[in-house]
Amino acid sequence: MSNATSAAEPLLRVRDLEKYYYENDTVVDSLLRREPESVQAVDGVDLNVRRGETLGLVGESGCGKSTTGETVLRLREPTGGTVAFDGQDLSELSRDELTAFRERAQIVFQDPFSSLDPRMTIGDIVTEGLRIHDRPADPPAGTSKAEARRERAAELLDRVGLSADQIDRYPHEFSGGQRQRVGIARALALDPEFVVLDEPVSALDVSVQAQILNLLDDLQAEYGLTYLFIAHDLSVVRHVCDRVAVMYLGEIVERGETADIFESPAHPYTEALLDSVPRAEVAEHGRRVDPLPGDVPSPRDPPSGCRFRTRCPAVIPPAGVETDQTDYRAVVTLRDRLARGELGLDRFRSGDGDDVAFKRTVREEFGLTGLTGADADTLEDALEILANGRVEEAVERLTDRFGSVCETDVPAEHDQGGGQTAACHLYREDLGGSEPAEASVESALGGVDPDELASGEGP
Amino acid sequence: MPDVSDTPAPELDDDVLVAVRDLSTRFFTEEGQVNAVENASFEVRDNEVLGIVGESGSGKSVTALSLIDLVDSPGEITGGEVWYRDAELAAEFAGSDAVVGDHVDLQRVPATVRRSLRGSSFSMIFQDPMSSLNPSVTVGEQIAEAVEVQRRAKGNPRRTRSRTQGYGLGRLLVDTLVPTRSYADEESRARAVELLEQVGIPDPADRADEYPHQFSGGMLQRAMIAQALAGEPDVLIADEPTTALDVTIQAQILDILRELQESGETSVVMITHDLGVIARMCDRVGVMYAGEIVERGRLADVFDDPVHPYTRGLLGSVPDLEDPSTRLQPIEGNVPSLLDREMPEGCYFADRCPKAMEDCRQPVPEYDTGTASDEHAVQCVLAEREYDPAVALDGRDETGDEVVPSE
Amino acid sequence: MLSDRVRRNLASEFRGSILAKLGVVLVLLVVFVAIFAPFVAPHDPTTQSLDNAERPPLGIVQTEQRTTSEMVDGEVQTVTETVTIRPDAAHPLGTDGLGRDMLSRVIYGARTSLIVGVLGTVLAATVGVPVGLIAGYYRGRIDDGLMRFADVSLAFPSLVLAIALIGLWGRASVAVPDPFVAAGFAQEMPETFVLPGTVIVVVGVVNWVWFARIARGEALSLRDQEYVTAARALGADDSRIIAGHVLPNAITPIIVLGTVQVAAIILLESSLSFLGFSGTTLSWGFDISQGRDYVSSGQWWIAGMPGLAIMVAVIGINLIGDWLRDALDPGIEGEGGA
Repeated sequence: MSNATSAAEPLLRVRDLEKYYYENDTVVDSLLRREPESVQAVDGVDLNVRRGETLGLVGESGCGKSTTGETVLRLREPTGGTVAFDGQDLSELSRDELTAFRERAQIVFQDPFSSLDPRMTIGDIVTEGLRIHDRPADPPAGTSKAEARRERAAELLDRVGLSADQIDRYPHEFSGGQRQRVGIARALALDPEFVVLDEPVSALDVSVQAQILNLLDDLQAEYGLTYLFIAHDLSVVRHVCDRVAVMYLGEIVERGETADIFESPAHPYTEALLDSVPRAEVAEHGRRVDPLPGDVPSPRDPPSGCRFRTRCPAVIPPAGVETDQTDYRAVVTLRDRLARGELGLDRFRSGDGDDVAFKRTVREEFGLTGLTGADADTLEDALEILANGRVEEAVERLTDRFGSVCETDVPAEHDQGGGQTAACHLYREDLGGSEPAEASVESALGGVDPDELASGEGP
Repeated sequence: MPDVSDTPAPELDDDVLVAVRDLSTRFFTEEGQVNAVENASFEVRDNEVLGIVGESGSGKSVTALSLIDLVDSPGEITGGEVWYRDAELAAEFAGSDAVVGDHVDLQRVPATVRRSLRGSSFSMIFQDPMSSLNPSVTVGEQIAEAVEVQRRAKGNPRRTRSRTQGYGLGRLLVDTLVPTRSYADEESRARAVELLEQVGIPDPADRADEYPHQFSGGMLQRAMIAQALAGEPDVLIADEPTTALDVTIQAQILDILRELQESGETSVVMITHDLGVIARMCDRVGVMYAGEIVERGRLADVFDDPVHPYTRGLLGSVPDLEDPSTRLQPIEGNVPSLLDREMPEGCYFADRCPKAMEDCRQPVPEYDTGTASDEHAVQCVLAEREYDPAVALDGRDETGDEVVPSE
Repeated sequence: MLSDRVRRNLASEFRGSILAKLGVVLVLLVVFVAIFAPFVAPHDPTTQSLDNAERPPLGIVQTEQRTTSEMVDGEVQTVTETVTIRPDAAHPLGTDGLGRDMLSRVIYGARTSLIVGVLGTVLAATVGVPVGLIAGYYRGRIDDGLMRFADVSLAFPSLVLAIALIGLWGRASVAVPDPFVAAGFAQEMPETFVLPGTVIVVVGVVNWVWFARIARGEALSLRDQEYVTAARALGADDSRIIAGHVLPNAITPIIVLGTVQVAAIILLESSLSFLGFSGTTLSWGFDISQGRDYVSSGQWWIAGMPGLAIMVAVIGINLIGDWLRDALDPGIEGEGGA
């Protein structure tokens, strides 16, 4: 960490970024006294993007990665947190400064079909940025600005692998891959330093995808670009990115150097994600995969504490609980569903008021047959209470004994060494984790001068 | 009427459930004739998962639809045979040229017979479950209906099986006006709940009373699988079933399909563009390009020993999750148009192929490079001889490694 | 603005549809006649000739019972005679109660209808489209406010609203120069109670809401298109986006609406004229109102001919609207060839 670039401020610095969408927020709703609900699309995201690198932002649908990408460019207004580009806080920019910023930071969209205005020729599409910012400011002698722009468009089209004589054609005359090239040309027209690539190849066929990825790679080397690469396809991310951050339900759960993340993932979600990806090789056939159970919870009502706990195969039981993970999970599932009011208890009753039969049916349904000792006792008590219809009390009882730290505490990002961090209680020192107390966010994110850190300039 | 081919009746092994020979499906559109599927041949055996992989425009979805006879105007199946093993059916049509042993050529039997097989012998699930289920009917009810239809059909002679039993205009009016009556009876509803359980939906009885919009994508896809299983089909055709799903959910769904096949109930035809899914799921695979099956065989043969340059190109352009070091080798150029008048003579891949030779401008036959028991069919001259730069098509350089990049 | 594909769609739809051809023929007829009125009309439409009054159109012989009273020898004598009025080739469509040539009046009436129809539509669109685009693009309170305003406008039947506005503005009104007069094609049209310009403004104002609605609907869906976000990412400001991205993609239904509106405004103007709120006496509606009294006594053509003219114009315009709609339908035009 001694050369000039890494000691310098990262090009993009994001802290505690929040983007909430509020529903039930109109005049009518307040009249009807409806509580505004918030969809917490992005909830406390920290990122550093170093100059010249490709940082991957990976996750499944609904995790907030695309929202993060657009918010970072101020295409959407964050509801909290800060974004600093080249040292400048974006929220403090005047309108003109924001316009100037746009020349330095660009974006390529996912859908090649809807990201190009169908009524504009591709030449116009590519030069629109130039027209907005009145570039070139000084056209070479003898040419008008319009001519200079047209030449630049031809140049760009050529550079991205299209033929310049297509300049007056319309988007619908091109294939998906070609349109994506147009989108890339458009982003490059203003000579940006930083480009957000929002799933740039997800909508393309595999062979075309390869063409585009190679192109992006070449362009980065040629123009010294910095990329924020947003994707859900892990194989692509592995191939393209220097460092990766994994998102789940609006939060970053793990980050680090690409090789580290893929070879030794620390967070249970990352592990599960990698495990789920089918590899295109014969050995994949019959590979044993334990899929993650259930669905991604709604971002309207994310789970308390660690958001991944509802699907996590490694939820931490409290001290004193001795059951194995499977049984523990089963109890927790029962408790969760009772707490959410999702369980229709009548189903378990056999009609003759037989409590024993009721309890047995519940046990069978949830696979709760393996508990022993104090755990079994508590379960028995809780089921008894439940048989008498006192749901809340039963929930309380179960929570007392089986409630996990994963529900109560939001995990901090724990240092795994080499710049890798994982936001998981498994690494908490006081719970027996092997790492020292959480490192500062800064050093975990990488790219910070330790002197700066020592001087007290924190996040 | 598809043209009855002059090829001799095939010899089909006992464990071949479906054998497709030279299937061609064309679309007759305003812009011209589109050859969506051209002389495709492949087999589905008992208890296996057959994969058909291809990119967009390869014709894989149309092939699936052709198999289940769901191709709608302006498209039609213009040629080929679809041999299906069904002893009962064979007995019914014994003596005609549509029968060889226990196999019946579905292209030669009346359309009503083919229709009657839909749901009972062949079943299909699609990419977007949201648009495949009626949003205004509960999920349980829809599955129960499917079960009911099949149940009633089985109790009827084949001729009339294709018509949904007991559902005429009068019935429709009654059901609409008297909402408590339903088409499906108790037994069917119970079976529907069973099916939901089989596909891993928790609390199936409760969830059966919910509507499609209350289900998540993964759950909905499971429900669709449940519905497809209502008639206990022999062949389940899955057209990109997990493409719209997240990777962790995809893993769940693939698991279910795998279980189905392993339990011996159904063979699966898996249509996808994802080579990883193919590797995970399929025992044998066919690679499609521009409407043709250019290579097919066992998974190991196709993945580890690909002969056709398109297959090689496809495999080379997929980023490897576990080894990022190599630069991707894309296939230059674009997918060709499938319009009949615009298609070249000979091999359709020749224009993009790094190893195209002069002979490739002639129609290319299928060669078998496999063993006697395991066919590895390739529609490429390279199956027979080495690449010879001396007779290369224009634009290729001597090594045959790189094509002059076109657009 | 018209891409090749659009041109092709228009052409093929036109070729395939008899109705489209008919529509174009009818409208071209009206336009031609309107522009070249002074050269096409056989007579001055304002020249009165009482001898020639109430002449029927060609092919119809009118028989009337005329009752005249005379003083004969100090007594009032009523004589009823049967008069036969024959049509005159010089007046192929007959004459009205004051002997003015119907054909010429219909021809000149076309000008009024066309000017009022087209200019009124242009005005309505000029007001309505920006309002609609802004409401749809910004949503929220701006949308609510503007649309409530639109709802209020819609609450009034257009005719009633028009009359009210004319009553309000009346003489203190807008003088819109007659383009044909300015171009030397015709003489000034005679003035009446209300200047023609006022009528144009009124009908425009009354109809802005339709354009606002359509524009708003389009803007609502278009603003979420990814290319709009892309434009913002490039640094475009809102007005640039609305004018350069939203409007061009919204233009199709607006154009189709425009054709329909021209027809509607022609009808509105005719109704207004009929009721006496005319910008000029050379108007189809005006003639119909004059001719109303004559229908019962058998001279149907005085109201009938202008009525027929209205029908021809409106049908023609609607057929063109259908042609445009079918040809420019997003389902056909579409995006993406893949």
